Amino acid sequence: MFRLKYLVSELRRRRGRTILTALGLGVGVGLVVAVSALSKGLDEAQQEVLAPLTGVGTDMSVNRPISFGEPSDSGAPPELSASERKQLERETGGGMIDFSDLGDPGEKFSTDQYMSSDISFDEAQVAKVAKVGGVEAVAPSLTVDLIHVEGTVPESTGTSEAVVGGPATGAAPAPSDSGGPGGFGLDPLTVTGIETGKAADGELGTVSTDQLTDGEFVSGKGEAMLSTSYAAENEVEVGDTVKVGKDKLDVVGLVEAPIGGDASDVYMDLGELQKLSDREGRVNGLEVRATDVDTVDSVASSIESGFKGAEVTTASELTDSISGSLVDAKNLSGTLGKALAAVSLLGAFAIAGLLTLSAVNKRTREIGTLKALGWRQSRVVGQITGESVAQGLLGGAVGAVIGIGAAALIGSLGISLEATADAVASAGPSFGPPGAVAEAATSTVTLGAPVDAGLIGAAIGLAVLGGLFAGAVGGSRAARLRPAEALRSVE
Amino acid sequence: MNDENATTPAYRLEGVGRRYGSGNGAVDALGSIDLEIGSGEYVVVAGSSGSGKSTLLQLLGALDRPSSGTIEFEGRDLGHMSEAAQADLRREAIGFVFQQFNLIPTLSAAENVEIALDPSGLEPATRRRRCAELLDRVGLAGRAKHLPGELSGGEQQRVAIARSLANQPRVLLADEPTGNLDSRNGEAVLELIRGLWLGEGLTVVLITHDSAITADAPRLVRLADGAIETDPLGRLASAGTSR
Repeated sequence: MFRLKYLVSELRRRRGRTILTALGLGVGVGLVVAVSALSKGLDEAQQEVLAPLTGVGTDMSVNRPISFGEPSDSGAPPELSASERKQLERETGGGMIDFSDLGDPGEKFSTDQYMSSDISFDEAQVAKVAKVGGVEAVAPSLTVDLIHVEGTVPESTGTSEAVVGGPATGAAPAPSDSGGPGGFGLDPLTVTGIETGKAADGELGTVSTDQLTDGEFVSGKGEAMLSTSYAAENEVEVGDTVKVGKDKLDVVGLVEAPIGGDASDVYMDLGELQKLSDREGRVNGLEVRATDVDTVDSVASSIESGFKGAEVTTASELTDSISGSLVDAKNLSGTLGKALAAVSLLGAFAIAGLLTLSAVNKRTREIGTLKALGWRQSRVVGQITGESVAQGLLGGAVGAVIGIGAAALIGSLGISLEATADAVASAGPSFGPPGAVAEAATSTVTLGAPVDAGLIGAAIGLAVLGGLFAGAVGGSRAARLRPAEALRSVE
Repeated sequence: MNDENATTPAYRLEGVGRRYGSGNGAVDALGSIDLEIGSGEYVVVAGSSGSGKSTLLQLLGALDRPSSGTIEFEGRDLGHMSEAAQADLRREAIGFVFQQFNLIPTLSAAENVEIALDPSGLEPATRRRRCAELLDRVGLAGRAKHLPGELSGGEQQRVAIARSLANQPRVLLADEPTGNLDSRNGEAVLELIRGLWLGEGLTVVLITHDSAITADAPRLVRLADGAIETDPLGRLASAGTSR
């Protein structure tokens, strides 16, 4: 108690220096708290932006893109390999419409074509991927572009087929100004089939329950969820119906499109879509959750090596594709913010050290007296250091208040940040009406600056470290003082 | 007098010198001093300013090391002791009284005495009891809670004397103890010191330039220009310095 009393009395005796030292440390520490809180807020904002794509529990997406060869030396577009072309022809009919199946020339026709930029694979692959070490869960999906074509069967032109769109000819399609080949009406719709009912994992999948904005999640055949943009564009609400191929589905819910992900217009039962698109037992997308976030990259590599032709996109790769003010703010916080905090903290340490040194010089005779009374060097240094650490604690408290205040101010400003991500496209061209391009998705989040007990504890720890540093500086000066020399000094 | 050290003097100085600086700027605060102070003696060291009085006191108090010669305290060589050993010796055996009191202004009278007991390892209750006894002995029992700023000069010096006795020293070194006091308080302080010498059997070395003090000093050692000028009762003569 006596030592504490002496310590406190000395701090009060030199009140100005105590306040100055504590303030200096407090400002430095406060800046560290504010920058750290801001950085954490930006991380959370980024997570909020990415969550709809990754889902609460999706770590990576797997698909089997169509692979094109290298462009030719003459600059002609790359062509499909023979095996890829064969597979595609099996699934999409090569993107061709055989009019001879649709009626006689001059007769009206209506047909649905199910196209895809990803080659489908056997559903058995789902179980294989699920067995890969580090995989916790797998959710399959099937995404197709449903192109409804109506028109009149043309007179014979020497060919009874027409290109709907896609690389059926083996070449990448060139954009066209017309609404479709041969003047036919095209009504494209992107449809994704997902597991429903008991098989569904509401958190893992190409769309998750978190993205529901209205209604409920699709639970079985005959039901559909629509993307909010498609519903708004087509003035469809929950309770209405939507036609997918020859099926009419009840609209049970609306979902927000995930940023950076493949946004579909319609989500329906997987089995129902497989049947409609003549792809029974086949899927073309997997959402995978790893058992540990730290093993995502290694799990992704294992899946790619075990599944020929597969392309795995992890959340971190998606993160790299994000741009916008959110990313700019993160970069600024990460570089300038941290540099500012570091310089401020170093400056605070230096000020604390200099002020302590000055205080020791002012107490030279007192230190000489203590030594004359039999105080060992270590005891004297301990006294100086104890006073400095106490100032550090005070500085930490001041810094915590400054930091919390700054973080609260940032939060109260309600700053909005945007994040834009190009849709994670598969390798190869997009399939749909000629001229259609993948649109970038933008999401807006409000910036916060959360402060937790851990951050405050770390900040106070930094301030105490500053106090220790100052104590070491002052203590070394006190230690070097010879008692005789110290007693001769004039205060 | 301490019977155990009856034949061992409190201090023995042989050829002790103290030089400050080096080269052409060097100053010999003390030349070559030979001096012996017996256990239980009351020695007044007098001399004008710059004569080396304070330097001598600092060497006797193990606050400094001699540049030459040897200085022994109860047979132990002070000049070659470690810093820690010197600190321990000061705590256990030597009490200091300074001209400017050197009290901690933010601690009360009792706490200023207690500060000397801090390194002793005594229980807090024991420390506080001892402080109260010491302040009572110097007549300041009723002023224990007062800060130095609330005490007169004489009272502050008495607190300093109480502090110097905290660890039951065998030697009391007083550097101009009445220098900052009026004559009445000065006499009172001297009376106190003399009472302690007689009552406790302390060895007292008091430095002063006050002729009133030197007049009835039991033993008077005069210094001049860093050398012993006169020491009529001294057993060792300073080599080549008798005047």
